[in-house]
Amino acid sequence: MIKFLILVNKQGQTRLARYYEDRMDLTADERTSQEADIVRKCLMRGEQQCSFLEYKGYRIVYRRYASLFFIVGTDEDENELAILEFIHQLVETMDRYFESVCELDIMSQLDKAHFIVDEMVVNGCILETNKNLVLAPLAVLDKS
Amino acid sequence: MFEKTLSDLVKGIRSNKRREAEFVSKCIAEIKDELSSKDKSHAIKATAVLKLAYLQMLGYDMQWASFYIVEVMSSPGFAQKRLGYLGASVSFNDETEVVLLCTNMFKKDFQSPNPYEVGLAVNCLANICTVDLARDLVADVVSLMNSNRAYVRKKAVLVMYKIFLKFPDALRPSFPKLKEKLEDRDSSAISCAVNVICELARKNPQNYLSLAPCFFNLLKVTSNNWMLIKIVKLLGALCPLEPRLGKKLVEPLTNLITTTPAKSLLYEAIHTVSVGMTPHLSIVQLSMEKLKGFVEDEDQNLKYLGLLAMGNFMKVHPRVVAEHKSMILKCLNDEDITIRHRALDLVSGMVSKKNLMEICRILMEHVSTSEGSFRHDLVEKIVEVCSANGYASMTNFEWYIATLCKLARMPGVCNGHHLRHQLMDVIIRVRVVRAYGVRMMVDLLRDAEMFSQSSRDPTAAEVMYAAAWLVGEFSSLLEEGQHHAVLSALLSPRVTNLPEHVQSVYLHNALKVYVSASKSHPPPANGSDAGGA
Repeated sequence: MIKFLILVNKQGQTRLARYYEDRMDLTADERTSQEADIVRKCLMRGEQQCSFLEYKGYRIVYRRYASLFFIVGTDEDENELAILEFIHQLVETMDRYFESVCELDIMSQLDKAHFIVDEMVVNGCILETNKNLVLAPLAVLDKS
Repeated sequence: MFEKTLSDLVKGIRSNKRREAEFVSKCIAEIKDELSSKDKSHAIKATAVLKLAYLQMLGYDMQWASFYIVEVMSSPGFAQKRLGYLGASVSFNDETEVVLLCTNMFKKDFQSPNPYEVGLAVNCLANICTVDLARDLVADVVSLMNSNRAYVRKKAVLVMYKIFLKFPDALRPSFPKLKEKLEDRDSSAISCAVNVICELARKNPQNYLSLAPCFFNLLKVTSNNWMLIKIVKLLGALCPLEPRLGKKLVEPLTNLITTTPAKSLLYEAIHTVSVGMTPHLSIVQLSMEKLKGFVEDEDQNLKYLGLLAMGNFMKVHPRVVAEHKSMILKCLNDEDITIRHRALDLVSGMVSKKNLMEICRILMEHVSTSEGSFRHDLVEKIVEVCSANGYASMTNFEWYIATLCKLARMPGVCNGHHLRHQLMDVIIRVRVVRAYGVRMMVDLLRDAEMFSQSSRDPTAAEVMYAAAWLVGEFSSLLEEGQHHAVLSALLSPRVTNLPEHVQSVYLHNALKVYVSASKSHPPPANGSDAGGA
């Protein structure tokens, strides 16, 4: 099960955060510093190293696209290669919707980015990866 | 009135980098005004909630706005409602009191003719579900599982798992409906049902064993890779409970492993073999062949996963792993430390009487070139493979003692406790090697370099503890003429630089050595000794 999905840039600033389990133990501030911590660990690894690491009991799968790290935290039962594939699908879907997505797009249209994620993952389970099906409700939203 | 949009907020924060906190509190004050204003269309309030969601991501708390968020959630317009639900999804938790106000809103939105509105509500429920919401809404969600739109059915199925987590009593009555979804006409809905049952089965595999035939069929007919991965995973969880299932799976999984182009599915199938089908040698061999391909691949991710999966096989079939010895040992040289760690984990399974010394030699080479925690792990691994199963693979204890001493002498080795324990264990228990051991311990005690290392590094001093103790205990094995040298080492004034517990062992055993020495050189019986001068 996916526990969280975050998009963080190299400076440790979170651009999108989605948690799929109760986060009552952390305040908003603690959460953001944890996100920055995770991205620092990813930054310490080179380009040639594998995309997996462990952090506080979570398995982390990450991949960097341009200036953003797409980071998924899962429990130990998830298939890492499938998650990498999912991240790739997410990036391609965002690319299609925002027409060559960049960090600023995600920041200023945060609700649309969230909407895309919500169409792909529900309750930590991957729901849909077909771009057409994912983007259909957004098209309806944009028209109204 | 000029209200900031999200874009404006983002730009504003970027251009106020030095005074961010000040700028943000101004924005929050504006947001508070916007939320309490009379805004019939809710457009302004909705944007305010979106801005808050953005700020929350930066670390600013938005719990105070929960009531306003509920207000926006009840907007008639889809765009505004959507933002209300978003605000709720990112900020509500079990302690948010206004969650109780949402029950009726959910019920209403579940009935909406617009499937996307229904989807919105279902999604949000998945994020904020509390015990009360679960109990009050389970019936509605169950009926949504029968909606005529696949879009709604899929989401409803996935939310059921959250409801079961919060309100376990719902599982038994709703389960038959969930089971029906395994035969839904839409394959994504089936996939979602498989997903949920997979999660449920992780906790209680026994209860879902009866569904195995159904999953077996799905395995054969579906081509959806995501679903296949979950089914294979689920069947793997059920195999340990039912040996016949493992046997039946050999054919379809062999097929899958040899034909699928999707690496993720291949990996999952191999993983299932490693946890549930290990008695079936042919498929184990096939899996190891494929894993060899993973480890030899240039892609670091595949290398890592290959080594990880081999670790699973090693527990049951160490010999099969041992066939790939040279490839695994090569991975100890990899640049990536996570891969080095995985390779090191596999070393334990490869060791036998014939190759123990050679493998330890290779590991020692790595110890001298590596540093940090990996070095520590390497030394631990050397000790582990040598002492495993009561020294089952050990053929030459003298070699082992020499190796331990060599390790002790390497600067910066922090496994002093292990080395101490091993030296004492071997020399005490293996009688024939005691004399050799004592000789080596004397060398250690007299080694000036070792001594200064121990004064600096408390972990290195642990080895000196062992040396002193052993020399004292087996002082009868000391060679002629050595007693004097040993006593000088044990009683040297610089001993006070060592940790206290080591000093006390030094003193204690100095006495033993002295007693042993005086036994072999008793004072002359008549008392008029040449030493009178």
